[in-house]
Amino acid sequence: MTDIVLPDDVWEGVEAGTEALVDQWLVREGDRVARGQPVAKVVLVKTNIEVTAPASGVIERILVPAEATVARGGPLATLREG
Amino acid sequence: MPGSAVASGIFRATVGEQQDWIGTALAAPLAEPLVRVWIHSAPAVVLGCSQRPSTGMRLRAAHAGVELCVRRSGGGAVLAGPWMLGATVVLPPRHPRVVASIPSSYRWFGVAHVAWLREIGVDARAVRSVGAPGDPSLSWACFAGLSYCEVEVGGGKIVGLAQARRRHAILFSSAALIAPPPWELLCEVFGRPGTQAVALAKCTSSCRQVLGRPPPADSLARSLWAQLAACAALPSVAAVA
Repeated sequence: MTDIVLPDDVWEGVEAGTEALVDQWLVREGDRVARGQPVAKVVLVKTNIEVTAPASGVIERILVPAEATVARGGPLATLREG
Repeated sequence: MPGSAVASGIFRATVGEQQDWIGTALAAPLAEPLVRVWIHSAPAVVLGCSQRPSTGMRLRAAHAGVELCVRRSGGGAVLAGPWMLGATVVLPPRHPRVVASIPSSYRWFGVAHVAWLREIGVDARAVRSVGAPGDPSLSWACFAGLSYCEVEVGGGKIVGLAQARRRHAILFSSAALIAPPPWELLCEVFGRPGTQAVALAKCTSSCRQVLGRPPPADSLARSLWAQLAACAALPSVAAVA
């Protein structure tokens, strides 16, 4: 199982305690995705960031629903590779 | 079209037309930077991507004769119109101005706006960090707070910045106040009291407030475009389309 997370380098310099807002999921649990495919849009410091699948596989579970927030390093969803 | 010879320049358009163009520009692989400065003659409320227009908001906007749309980048609502210049820079993902860190990625964009404002006599500065949170009841409005590298004059916000990152392209967008907006119109669309319009006026500034009689919008748009085009490494020729 692989976690889908917001890349750590985008958080560099962001004030501690700031969280990112999940704006929109582009996939649903059970959807098959290809590596690099956009799966969600997340907003961090006025920036809407397209989050892509780190590998090909199936979206196992969405952990942070749209309009909820996630802290640095927090998984957005899990992906079953293959 | 983004790939055409007039992809960059100064454009008179509605906010809806601007957003449509941005959508097209972000949808396909981008070979070269695109820089547009937008002049809007009609008022429009532009929501941040996370703001959802309610039915009441749509009705109030229609009643007030104000266009209402949602942009692709984050942040609070902006009241676009003749009092504002919009700027859009779309860069390929590997452009040297694109860096991973979100706060750092705003630096060049904020500095470019400061250089433009200083060139016309407005002693602006880009904020280096996020300031103390403003009035939380105003968090819905872009100009109520200062974020990384946004631009202020004497404590009043004059330029708001936002960004959208896609696989094929990175969007930087700005809103610069060349005159005081009718904040009561924005509050009306949001169903907010007039006291919030007064509060927004107090925490913002504009070229007109600083200079008294600023250059005309076309002239300001040309100098802003030239500044941004230089940063994006475009040839410095702009025409109003």
